[in-house]
Amino acid sequence: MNISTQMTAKISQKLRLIPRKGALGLFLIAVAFLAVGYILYPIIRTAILSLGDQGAAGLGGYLDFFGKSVNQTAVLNTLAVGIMSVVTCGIVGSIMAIYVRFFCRHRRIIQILLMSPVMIPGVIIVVAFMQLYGESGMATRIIQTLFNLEGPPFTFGGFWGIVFVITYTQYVYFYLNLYTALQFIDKNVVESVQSLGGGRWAILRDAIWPVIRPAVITSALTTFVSAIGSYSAPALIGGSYRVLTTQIVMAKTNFNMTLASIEVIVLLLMGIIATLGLTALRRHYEKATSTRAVYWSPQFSHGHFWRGLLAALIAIQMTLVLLPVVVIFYLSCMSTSSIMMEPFPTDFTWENYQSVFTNPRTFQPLENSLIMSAWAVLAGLILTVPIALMARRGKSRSAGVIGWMLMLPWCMPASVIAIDLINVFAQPNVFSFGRSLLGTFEILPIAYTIMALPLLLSSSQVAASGVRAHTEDASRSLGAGPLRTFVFVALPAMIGGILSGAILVFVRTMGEYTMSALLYGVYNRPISVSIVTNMQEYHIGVAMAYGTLVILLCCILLFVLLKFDHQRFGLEESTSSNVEP
Amino acid sequence: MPKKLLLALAAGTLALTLALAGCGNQESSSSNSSDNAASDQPASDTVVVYSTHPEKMLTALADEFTAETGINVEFVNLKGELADRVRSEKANPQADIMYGGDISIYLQLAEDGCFAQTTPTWANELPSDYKGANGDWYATIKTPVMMFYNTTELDAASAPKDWSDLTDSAYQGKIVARDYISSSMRAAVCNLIYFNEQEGGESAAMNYLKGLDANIKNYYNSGSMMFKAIGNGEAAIGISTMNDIIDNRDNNGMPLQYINAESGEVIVCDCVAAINNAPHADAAAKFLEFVGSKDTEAMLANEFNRMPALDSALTDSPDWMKADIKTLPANWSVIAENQTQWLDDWQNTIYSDDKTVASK
Repeated sequence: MNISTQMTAKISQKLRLIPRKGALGLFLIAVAFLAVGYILYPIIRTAILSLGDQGAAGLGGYLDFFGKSVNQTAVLNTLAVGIMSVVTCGIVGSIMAIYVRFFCRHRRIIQILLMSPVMIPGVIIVVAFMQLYGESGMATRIIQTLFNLEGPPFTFGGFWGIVFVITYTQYVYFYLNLYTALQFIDKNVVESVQSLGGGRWAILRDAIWPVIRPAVITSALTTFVSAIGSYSAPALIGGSYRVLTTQIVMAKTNFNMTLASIEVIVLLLMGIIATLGLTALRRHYEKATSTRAVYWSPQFSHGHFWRGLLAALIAIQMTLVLLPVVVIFYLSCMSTSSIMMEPFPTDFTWENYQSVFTNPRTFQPLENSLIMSAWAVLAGLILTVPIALMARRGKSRSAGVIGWMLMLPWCMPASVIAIDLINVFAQPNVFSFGRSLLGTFEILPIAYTIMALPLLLSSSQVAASGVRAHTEDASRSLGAGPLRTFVFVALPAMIGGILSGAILVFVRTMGEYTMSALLYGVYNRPISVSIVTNMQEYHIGVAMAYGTLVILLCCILLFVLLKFDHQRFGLEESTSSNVEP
Repeated sequence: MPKKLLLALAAGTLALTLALAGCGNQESSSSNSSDNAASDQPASDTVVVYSTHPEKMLTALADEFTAETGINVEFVNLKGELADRVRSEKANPQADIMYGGDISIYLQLAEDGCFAQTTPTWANELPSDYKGANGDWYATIKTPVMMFYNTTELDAASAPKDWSDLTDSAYQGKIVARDYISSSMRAAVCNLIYFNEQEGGESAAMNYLKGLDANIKNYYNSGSMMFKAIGNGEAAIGISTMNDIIDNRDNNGMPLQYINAESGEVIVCDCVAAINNAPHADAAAKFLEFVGSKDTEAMLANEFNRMPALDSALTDSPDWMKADIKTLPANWSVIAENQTQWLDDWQNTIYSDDKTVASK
């Protein structure tokens, strides 16, 4: 139990950093306690497990691990998937962002549709992909017939299959961040570049690139980490293309917890190294944006060619994004037997929906998921928003340290978070107040919250930077306390940015499968598990009907929520461009 | 300093309570079973079952058990995660019953002390290799893992007759199978390694696996996708549990035929055990008695095509189950001992690296 004493030492060390400000100090201590207990300590426990029972001598296990060619392959493959996904997500996400930011007329609908890939578990999406692009997929067959080919024109799977699916489900990070960043391009800078005789490339290089660079780096980081941590894509279509996440599950099913822990730590280190490198890079380039900027809205009247090219690219991408969703809707109205045997299923039926609505076990998972996602968002916001505000003022060093801890899950793939929690909370523990959490309702919302923290913190940080210090000072000097100032001055200014982060977290949690499958129990079966269970029991049509319901439900929720969000999403057509912030 | 520490802990408590208050409330409201901590009560009104069996089958069992005893059944089917979960929760079990999974898994978990001793009335009827030595687990269902084929792609004459035929180059690229996540595939692979090793030593077993791998077109993470590939004619031959083959043939109308292998079927015995230190030990004993009984096994045989482990239940079972089914020789304790190494060989040495789901 020398870990506990270490922890105690850490906590008391924290205490010295904390400002004597009563409630705020207490809050910081509480967040620090949770961050240590639920993020840092589990990582340390897993690291100790990875050494086997041999202490430092267990490092030999790592040497053995890297000595085997199978493991080298897995590590290199994981890296390759991560890097290639950053490239493809970057291309897809930025084209989408440019289009929606500068050309799009029906933003709210498009925004919601573009988020649909994160709402449902990867398994369902992969089935839709196989139906489209598999060996006997619809798209495959159409191309085969059109060009009169002997065999299928392409094979869907392996490395490129994984990258394709990851791009589809994760381009949304690049898209959202760039979409926000593009808003802040300074018209004055663009004009001065032009007046100095700069052409398109000069504008791109000197006026646009510096503004969007931090967003590009942040998105690259998020994408890389979520790509190396992705399990569904490699497990379902990767075949025997080895990556660390699938190796972890393999080791676990073979009861080899030491090997699983080594693999977890290797994956974690890859995430941490990427995070440290890219964060340093971002710091280096971060520049204060002028407060009196006039935002740029490009005139493209003379650039028909570029506009046409962009429109064509967008049309292709929108089709690629929406096609699988359409296929899910379509399959939900087809009998499973027709799905199993026909490349173009034709046997229409309402039975799938009937069995969804008549099964008494349908609605509990849906309710569970809604409640747990809401809790993850809420708990995450309670923890991150004040930290973001405090760290921003730079006054609180401890808020900075805690903020760093809350960002740690950013480099932890979902399976790592789940395995860490299992390792620690299978036994009663001081951080769970002497209870074991495994199998209880709480463990899933806790896991979801941990996964949500980095996204919520970063969106809160973006939002906090929009709160003007002088309004807060004014509020304070007029006699309002810090809480009052927070609620009535800071919060309203942040609400847009907070909401956009919250929405992304909410829909992503609804579709989360990796952690859910590892941690769910009798009392918290989530909808994603329910969908996959139907899949596994050969009720594909029913699984698709579930998927359709979840997508529709999320879309309706988003539609309502987005009505409140004007800032980051810029949904009100009039306020997005050419207007002072 | 200690005072500050106390303060920190108090604050942590407060925040945690705040953050989790709703979850806690949810727990009692969402589980319509009265209470998680039912151990205060004299007799449990709930039993928690972790299983690998399909939801429909578990629902039918739960309904019958509740009707018989008044005890509510909460179940989840954890599939391949089941054993791992039971082991992880050992220090603080959340479930009362582990239901499903093959003998080798039960042998390993029993050794780890995960199970409680039970004495169901039907225990004596089971042969000794169908139950734990200390009464800590019992076999309830025999699940044959079989080769099968799509009858529109192959006829009986050209279909493989035995497991050894699967390495024949005539079937190259025509076979699909499940991957490492499937417990039935793991059991089949282990049994095939054991059988071939008995016949021709270690190298024979490895050669067999290599030959099989060379012919396999794809390994699927999901059973649905494997059956779909066969339904679409992407491959003709598959390996699966008999009840899944029958399920897809009868419920999804697929043209499937299973193969009675000449050397015998891989028979995976699905077992049941009461979990040690379970929250509802009394209800667990009742459920175990119920689920392994002759009547329940006959019901599962008739409604879910599950072969009973009790011979006495066979009389009330469908006729095809009464036919003498040849078993591929297996010694599950030897398999349990070597399982980790064998599966590691299969997954990390044999599995070819270029094989992908839709290619090749």
